[in-house]
Amino acid sequence: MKGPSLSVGGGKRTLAGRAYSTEGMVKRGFDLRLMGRLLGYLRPYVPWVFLTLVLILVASTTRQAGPYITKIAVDDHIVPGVSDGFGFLIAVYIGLLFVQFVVGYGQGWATNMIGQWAMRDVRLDMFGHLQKLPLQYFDRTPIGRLMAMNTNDVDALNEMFTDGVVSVINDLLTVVAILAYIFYMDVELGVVTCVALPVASVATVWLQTKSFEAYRVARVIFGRFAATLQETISGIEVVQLFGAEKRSADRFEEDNDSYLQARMKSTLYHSMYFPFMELSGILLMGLMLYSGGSKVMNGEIEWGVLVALLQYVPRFFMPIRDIADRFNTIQTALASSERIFELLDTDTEPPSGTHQPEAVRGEIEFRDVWFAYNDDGGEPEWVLRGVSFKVDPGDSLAIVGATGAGKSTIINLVCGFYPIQKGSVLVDGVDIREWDSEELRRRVGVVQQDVFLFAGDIEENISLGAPEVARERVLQAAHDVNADRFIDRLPKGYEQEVNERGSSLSVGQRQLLSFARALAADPDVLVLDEATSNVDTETEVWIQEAVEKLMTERTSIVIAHRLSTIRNADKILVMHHGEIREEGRHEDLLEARGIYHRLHQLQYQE
Amino acid sequence: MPINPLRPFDRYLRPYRRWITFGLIFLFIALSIQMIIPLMLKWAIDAGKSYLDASRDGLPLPPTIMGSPLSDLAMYGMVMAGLGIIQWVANFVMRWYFSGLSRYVEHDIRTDYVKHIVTLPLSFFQQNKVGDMMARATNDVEAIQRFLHHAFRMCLSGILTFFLSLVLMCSIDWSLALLALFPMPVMVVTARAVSGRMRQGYRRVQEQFGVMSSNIQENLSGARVVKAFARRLAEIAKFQGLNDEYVDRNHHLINIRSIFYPFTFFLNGVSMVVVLWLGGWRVLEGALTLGAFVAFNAYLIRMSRPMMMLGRVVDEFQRATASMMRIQAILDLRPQTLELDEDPRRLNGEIEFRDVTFSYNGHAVLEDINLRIPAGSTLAIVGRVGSGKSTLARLIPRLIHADSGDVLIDGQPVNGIPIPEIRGAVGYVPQETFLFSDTLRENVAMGTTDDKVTVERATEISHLAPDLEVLPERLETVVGERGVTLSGGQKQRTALARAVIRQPSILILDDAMSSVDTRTEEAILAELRGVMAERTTILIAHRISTVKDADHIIVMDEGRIVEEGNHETLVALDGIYSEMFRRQHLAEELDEL
Repeated sequence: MKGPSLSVGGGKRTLAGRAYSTEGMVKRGFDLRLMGRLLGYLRPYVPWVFLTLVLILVASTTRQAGPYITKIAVDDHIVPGVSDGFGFLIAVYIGLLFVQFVVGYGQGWATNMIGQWAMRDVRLDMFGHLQKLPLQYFDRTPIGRLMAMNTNDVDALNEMFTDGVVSVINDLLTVVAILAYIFYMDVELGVVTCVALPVASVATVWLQTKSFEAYRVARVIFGRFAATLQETISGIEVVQLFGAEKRSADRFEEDNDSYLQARMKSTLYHSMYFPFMELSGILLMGLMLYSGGSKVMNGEIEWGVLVALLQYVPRFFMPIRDIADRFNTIQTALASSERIFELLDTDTEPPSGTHQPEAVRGEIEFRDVWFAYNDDGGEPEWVLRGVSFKVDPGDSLAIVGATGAGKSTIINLVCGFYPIQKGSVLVDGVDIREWDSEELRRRVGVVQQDVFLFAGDIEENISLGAPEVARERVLQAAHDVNADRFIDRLPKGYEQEVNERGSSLSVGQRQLLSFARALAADPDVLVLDEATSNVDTETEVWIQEAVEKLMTERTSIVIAHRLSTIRNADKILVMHHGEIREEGRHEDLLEARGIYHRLHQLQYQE
Repeated sequence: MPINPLRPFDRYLRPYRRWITFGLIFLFIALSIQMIIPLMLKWAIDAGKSYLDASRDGLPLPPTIMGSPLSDLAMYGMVMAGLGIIQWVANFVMRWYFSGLSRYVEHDIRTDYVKHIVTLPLSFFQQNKVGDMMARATNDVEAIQRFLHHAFRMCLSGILTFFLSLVLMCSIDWSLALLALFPMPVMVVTARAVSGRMRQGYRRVQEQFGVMSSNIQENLSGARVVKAFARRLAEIAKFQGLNDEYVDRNHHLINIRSIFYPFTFFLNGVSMVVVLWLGGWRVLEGALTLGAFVAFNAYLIRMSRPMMMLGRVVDEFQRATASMMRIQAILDLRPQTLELDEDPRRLNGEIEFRDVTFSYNGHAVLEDINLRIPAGSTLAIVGRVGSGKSTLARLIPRLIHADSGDVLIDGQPVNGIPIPEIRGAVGYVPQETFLFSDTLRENVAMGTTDDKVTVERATEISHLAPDLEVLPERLETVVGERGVTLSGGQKQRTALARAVIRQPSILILDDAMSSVDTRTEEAILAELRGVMAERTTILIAHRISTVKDADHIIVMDEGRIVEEGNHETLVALDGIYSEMFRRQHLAEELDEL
């Protein structure tokens, strides 16, 4: 008869050429620095932590008082046959039960709440830090990974705070309390009990090492399995088109087999360990029965001591056993905390300057700006090559050019979303690096091509939840950019719920909404990236009117796709391959018969 | 729990019936020993005490087994040790079988599930969320494993321990046993009451967690807007509110949960007090021996653990059955036929569309398409984004189905041609390249055993070969998320090689060279013309340079074919095509400035 076996699925197999993910690999051992940093999150709650420790101390002492009371009962009342005071002893016991209950409740509550508070702080730190990260970080980090950190990893930390550290202390104190009671009753028997400690500890450390290793391997394989599955589901069309169903299924089976193998390994260790701890318990009990019993027979101790001992022995191994589990929890949490701290240590946007003028005239200047998105030491792929231009306060500038000419990049640079490599960008003659970045972004309103809608109603999406943007401002802004024309038609008007996915708004409506959003913030400079997408004629007219209005009232830079916009601009800048090749007004540029002339034919001729 | 809680898992347990039998045998052995140990204590203590009492009172000494009371004690200790070792072995075997069983069943269910899921029709994948499909393979299967792991070991042995202890306690002193157990019903009732409230609290916490998570997700997706509008502090304030609410809800849950465990300890303690008090009285009165009192206590301790575990196992059972149902629901879906009774026929590659219409979400994507593509010819399709070009092409390998009208290959409606046959004949290079995190070789070969065209040859045709030189391990280089990142053009050429290697009768390039530069594209097309001489090619493209040499060109707009002919006739027509031609010419000129 074949039982469960360690080798699965036809034995050995090779994984040659398969990608082994190192993600999820957990470093062995404890990183004290990491642990210290984690415990730092407990600092605000030090009084609570102390209270918890005191409660744990009281709880473990009272919880282990039961057998000792039994000893007193046996020796003072039951064996000698003295009923006087027995009732009182029972009353004490009941009293202790109440204490135990209250203390146990307090301890459980405090432990869990401390965990919750600490996690709240970790989450807030992470969230706050994420807000300060440069956009490049989001360009290269998948949101899924960030989400996993915010959910799974924080959860693992919570487990550690509530179930890991505190429970280990609790377990250790329980062991100490039991030993203390035994030593108090009889020193020799206490020493005998201590014999069990190294045995149990060695077994526990052995399990801990072995099974954690197996667990780690299993998690890596499982991670790979999940990644492959996710990938296959995402690419199912290709899989089915090319008849690779069987190949994929075989892959899964391989991973599944090796996962089973890894799991069976830890099953083996656990199957040996836990019964071994039970064996240790029975052996110690046998030993106690003999040595304690002999002492009773020799009149060295009374019966009650033996009775109490026999009650203590089974209680003795449980905490030791549990510690093994807690260490796994703690190690998993440490791995998570490593990822979290890595995020928290990621460089934020360069420190912002302090320039915060009373009023802004709205003058924008680019001075020989060179910029490449790849800023990681490699050969820079220049998107802008020595771009210089100046927009006077109140003027409007239209930037035109073919796709990939570098137009949208200009928008990213005006607000300092990306650091430039050479040259400088100045607002009111002050380098944007000297500006307080939040102030700068408040003064410079940006309308991006793709409009991001937050879950919430229309009003919230215009005001973006800013308390200084009053309802009237929202209404006024919506009115000024013609957005009210469609909002008024919505069943719930400004209270209509929208969200990023499955939004009922059309592309044109979303554009109008983004105009309103920018206007409501009342910027001194407006930077607008006109969307290229086709919208219906009615909305198109509204958009054209709105853009015209936006451009005339303040300094504005528009990445223009509409002829009407270009014509309204005070100046046109023609970008080509990252350089400014022509500039001037519409008619002059047309006459020059250069790039603009061709662009005009290509893009703007109906 | 129903009479047989294992029923839902029956199918998967059946292969391991003998393991279960074995596990059960060893479970009984371990359990019996566990039940004997307190009796050993009782005998040892009673023997010792009566000896001691007799010698104190000067009565005749009771007989000893080993000659002296001390050697008797030693013997009891040794027997216990011996029993302990037997129990160790039995427990080990029992755990090994039962835990192993849960892992094997987990493995079997998961394998069945993933093997099944890849054979489901594409519509299934469109209707279900990836996260949900993943959850079934991970969380759901794990829930089943957890339950099975505990079902035998904890549940069965727990129930047996409970009843055996009860019986043995009653045999010592039945009235004391019943009195000692009176807190138990209280525990069961409170456990039920509390678990209901806890579940509700837990649900509220989960809800808020969802709200908080989607807030983070949204904030990260909208990072640009948040920065542009300097909303950092406001966003933090908003998150802080949600975060605090989450902690508040946890607080409620913790208030309830923190009571639960101390309360069970308390009730347990009450049992102990009852035994100490009433049991103590009986010993005091001489109605009970001291050894019996000790044994009684030992049984009581053994009973309390399963009681505390019971609630958890019931919870796990509910989760596991729900999970099994979720998995079973997928397993019950009918897969596509993937096996052929005979070798696939070779299709010639003549394609015909007859009055084909297709709509998506009530919006017409294709209308009245009539088109014949002779075998071996090249058809090019041009048109604006959303004009229906890809939809037209996707009808051929049955990735989607026409609402009305017929798509025919070699005169036979595609719906009548088995999927493996049709997909074996069609090489489709989709718009968006999908590469697996695997070696380039595997990505190209994708399990084809057909060696007519080698991977090397395929990469030559698709002009991927020169790029291989710079990759660390050439064809064995791992690409994708966990490997080397390829450029868009390299990806597209890999996908092309993937299609070419299969020597398809019909090759469909759905805007498949948009990231390949014009010169390379021309070279690839020239190469393809040689390879595809006898085969049908459908080219969907935006560049006129790509399509101008095609035998036939159709121009699509809003789901209809609006112009057709060859390059010269279409340019002469002065319609959409000639406008495209003019603009591209301009753009090229512009690019050279």
